[in-house]
Amino acid sequence: MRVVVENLSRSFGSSKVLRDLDLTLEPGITGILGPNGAGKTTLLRILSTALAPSKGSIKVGGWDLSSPHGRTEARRRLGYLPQEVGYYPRFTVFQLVDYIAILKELDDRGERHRRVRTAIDAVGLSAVAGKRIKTLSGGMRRRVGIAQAIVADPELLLLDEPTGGLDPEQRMRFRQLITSLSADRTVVLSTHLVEDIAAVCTSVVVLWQGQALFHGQPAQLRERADGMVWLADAVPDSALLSWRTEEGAVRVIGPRPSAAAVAIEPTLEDAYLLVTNCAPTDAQLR
Amino acid sequence: MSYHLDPTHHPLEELSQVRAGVVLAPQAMEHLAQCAACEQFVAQELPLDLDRVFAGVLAELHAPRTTSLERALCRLRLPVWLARSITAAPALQGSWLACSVVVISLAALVGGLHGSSGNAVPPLLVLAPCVVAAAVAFCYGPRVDPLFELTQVTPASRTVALLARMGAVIGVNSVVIAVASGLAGGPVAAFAWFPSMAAVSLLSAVIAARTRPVVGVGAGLVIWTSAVLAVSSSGLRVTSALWGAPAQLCYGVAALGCGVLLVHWIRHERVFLLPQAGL
Ligand SMILES: Nc1ncnc2c1ncn2[C@@H]1O[C@H](COP(=O)(O)OP(=O)(O)OP(=O)(O)O)[C@@H](O)[C@H]1O
Ligand SMILES: [Mg+2]
Repeated sequence: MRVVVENLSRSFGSSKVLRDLDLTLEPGITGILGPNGAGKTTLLRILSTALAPSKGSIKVGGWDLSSPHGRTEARRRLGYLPQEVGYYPRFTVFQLVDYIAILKELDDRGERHRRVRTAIDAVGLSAVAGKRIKTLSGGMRRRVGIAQAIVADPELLLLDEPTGGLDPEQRMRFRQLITSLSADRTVVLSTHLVEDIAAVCTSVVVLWQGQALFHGQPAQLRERADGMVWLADAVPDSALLSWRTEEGAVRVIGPRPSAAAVAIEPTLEDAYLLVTNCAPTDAQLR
Repeated sequence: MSYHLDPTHHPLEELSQVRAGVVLAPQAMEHLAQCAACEQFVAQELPLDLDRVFAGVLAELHAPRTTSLERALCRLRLPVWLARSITAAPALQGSWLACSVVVISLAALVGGLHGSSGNAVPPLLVLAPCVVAAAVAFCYGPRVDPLFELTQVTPASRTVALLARMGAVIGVNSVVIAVASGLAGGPVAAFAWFPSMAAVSLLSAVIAARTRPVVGVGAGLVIWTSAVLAVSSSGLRVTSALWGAPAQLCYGVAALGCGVLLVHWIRHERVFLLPQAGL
């Protein structure tokens, strides 16, 4: 399913959170990477139809989200994990996923329960399916949220910080799950973790103060930092960013800090830091 | 009874099926332990993950026990999603309803004891709108419903969900008020409380939809009690000024206006805005 965003803006009062965004999201996994307050949650809320844009147009698989009919059709085809999933204290894991499955129009009880069990199994929570959600750990609740997002087999899967609070093993399981799901659907996930992007994403959007600073493949993002990452002996004045590594050398992002500095292979994180540190300031954007 | 795993009958699927799992899985397990042929068949032919099968059985055993209210609503031909949405409303939970019953009963009792002496304000008539306004403002919205954000992105109609919850809350509370006032033999004609209750509740709901439930309830209560105090201190006859035919007509118009406004807003998705994530 293709998602086309054109000229999208969203403001809260006088603060502009998304600024004239143009994005085309294709089937595969797109990671939205950005610092706190960049507008990731706002963008995902708008794509999920939970929030209306202030301006601009969004088409989800050809359905225009500005019309009530378009929104309903898009809602039939999407799964959404909010940044925070609430729960009713008396609900068990099964009940919550089942409730969302009912709202997603899975009316046949037998088939619905089969799908609910499959989704709970996919996130490794079968053993606690009958437990009340309030008794589960934060990471387990996150997995309940992922289960409800995938229960209706959505063509568009929107996940806001899906790996937040997951232990390393669960993060790995989640990545396997998402990769297996992404074959024929569009997955959009927001994260602060560059490792998430490197591990699973086929495309990455770097969001900065409501603007897409970069949209392309992770390898293309990494290439942006080619010839811009160095190991030096001392902290230079000219660097955009520099920090001392565990080995004692200084890692520098920016132009060559000194003749003795050695160029090194950039990581995705280096490229992300480079792109966001070269971004226009808030004052320039205004 | 003899039980053999028959490859032509897709036993795995059968075993993992909900009902078949509950009924057959223990028999199948027992049989597997005793029958070498089946055991060999399972080992060679089937990727039978018994943990998974039992997890399926357990999950079904833990599947939601629908409440009797939900079943009753489904029997009234309400769709399952709506029945569950209604029964999940905070203002329809046992503890909330119990509080409403206590307040309304006390008001009816006090009113009954005092009778229709002089120009006294009937407590039930004053309190009924307040109790229902609070319940209506707390029946729907992002600050009330922990699953609100999730439910908003489903194809289920927001307008229907809101109206159904409000209708259920007003209906249930109306029954409580009617019974309480009937038992206490109140001074004012039956159901005179209804229009004022509807007007104050819907006014609170409209304000709550734009702001927060507490603001909605607070505003509704302030407006209503101010009106009651103003009339009772003005020397007018309270019951006829506040619950006479002209007043009832005004309440009716106000309730209708607020209802129409609320439906218009929710259809255009202009209200019940999500608060900032993480706050
Ligand atoms: N409902 C709201 N009302 C007012 N301001 C909001 C609302 N939602 C978001 N904002 C503002 O929009 C900006 C972006 O918020 P958003 O939650 O989209 O960022 P984010 O990239 O998801 O951040 P984080 O990484 O911390 O989750 C913030 O400055 C926030 O204060
Ligand atoms: Mg966020």
